[in-house]
Amino acid sequence: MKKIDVNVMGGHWPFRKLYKEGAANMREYYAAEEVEWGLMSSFNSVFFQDAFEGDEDLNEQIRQIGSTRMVMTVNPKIPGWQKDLEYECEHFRICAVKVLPQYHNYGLEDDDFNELLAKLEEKRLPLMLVMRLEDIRNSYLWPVGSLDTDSIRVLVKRTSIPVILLHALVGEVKLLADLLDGKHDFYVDTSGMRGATFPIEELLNSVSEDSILYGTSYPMLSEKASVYIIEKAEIADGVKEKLFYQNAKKLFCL
Amino acid sequence: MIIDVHAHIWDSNIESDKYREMIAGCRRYHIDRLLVSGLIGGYGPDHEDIIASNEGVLGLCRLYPDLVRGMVYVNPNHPDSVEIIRKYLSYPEFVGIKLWVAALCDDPCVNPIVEEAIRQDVPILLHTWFKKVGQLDHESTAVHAANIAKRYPEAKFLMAHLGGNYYHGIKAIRDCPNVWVDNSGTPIECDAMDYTLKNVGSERILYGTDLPGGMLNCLAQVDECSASQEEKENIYYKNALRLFRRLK
Repeated sequence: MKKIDVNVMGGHWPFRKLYKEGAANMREYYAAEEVEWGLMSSFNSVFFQDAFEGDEDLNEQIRQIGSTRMVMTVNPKIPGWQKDLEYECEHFRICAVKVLPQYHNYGLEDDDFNELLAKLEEKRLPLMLVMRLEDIRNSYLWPVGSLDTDSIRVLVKRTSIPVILLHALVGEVKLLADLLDGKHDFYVDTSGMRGATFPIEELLNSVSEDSILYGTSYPMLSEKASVYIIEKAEIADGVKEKLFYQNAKKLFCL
Repeated sequence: MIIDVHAHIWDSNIESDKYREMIAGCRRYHIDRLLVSGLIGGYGPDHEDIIASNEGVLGLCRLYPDLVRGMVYVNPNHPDSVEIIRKYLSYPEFVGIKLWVAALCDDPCVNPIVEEAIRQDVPILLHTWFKKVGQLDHESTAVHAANIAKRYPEAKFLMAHLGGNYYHGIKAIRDCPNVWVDNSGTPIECDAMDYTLKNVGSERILYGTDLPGGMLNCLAQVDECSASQEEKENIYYKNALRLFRRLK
């Protein structure tokens, strides 16, 4: 079944070797799993003081991969992101903006974040919120926590743009289930949905089939884990197709 | 064939939906044997908790005799640990011993348990996890597992969770040929298995999940890693059959 992966990563993760990073591996993954489009952001842009320089490198990597749209990473606490956003919209054809408040040390009520949110609303660009990049227990140099669901709830209710929550656990998704009803412009990806035996069936009891997107965090996390939770679920093929492909195609106009 | 060497019950209600779902998961994902230990009573279980844990597992084994086998759970701080091991290993359903977080696994209070395991020729499943945050007072790491393995080279240990953080766990035990590892409960980083394969080889890795959660990501880890078909067979069941001599 063809797929759109809304959460793939380029560049380098600084704390360990990623065995499957790089354009060739990404192309191989796309071919093996019938990924028609990948939405890619940069590890480097999380850790570089100037995120734009990470995105410039990512743009080169994306050229080598093909079938990939860029997700811009913004740290609104660093001055100058406004002009970078304009540039990346025009030259990199970004399809969303990703933020990592817990890595960049601000909250979703922060004035700088609100300025970014207003700009995204003006441009009608979706916002990707990263719940976590790794399990905090296994952090190396310093522990980085996850976002709290209450602040996400407030954000989703006050913004008019689509919000996509990445790498949320099944339990966290359940806490936000009332907003994942297909009426709010709010979505989750599958990359963190571990820890349940039948995660998709369990979530579809309270979450709309229109609100779940196939996303892997590849090459950081197992892509097969996300494939399996949809593929092996006892749900209609039409629902699987929505989760793997149609929901993302519609949301990102691919 | 797939043998899941690491699953739990957390209460005595073995006919509840939670455990029915666990069994249903095994059926759907083609798990042929499930090795279960009871962890009733939290981090420091008392005598009644230990008995309830093992009786619950025995009940589950008898409810699903084609699938479930038991691991005897003991608290090493209790003076009757060896007696409990002897009692439950007298049942053919039990195939090994499980230690969790009541004591560090290299604490001297664990010695009599290891000596009994050697006498009975059963492996000991050791919980291990090295955590950046939230380490429990008596939660073993791979370093503790290596210590006990070197103290008792004739004993057989199964170090759970690849040591939790596999970068802390795998190299600590790689020179201990009497330590095997399972991939249960590990974060779904897709490189964990390849890193482990590179450092200890496929003959010391067993498939585990930490059920009732985590089945699919653990399957995905094995399926996705670079191991050959023969190596994956080692991980999925052949190593378990070699290590757990009582397992049928």
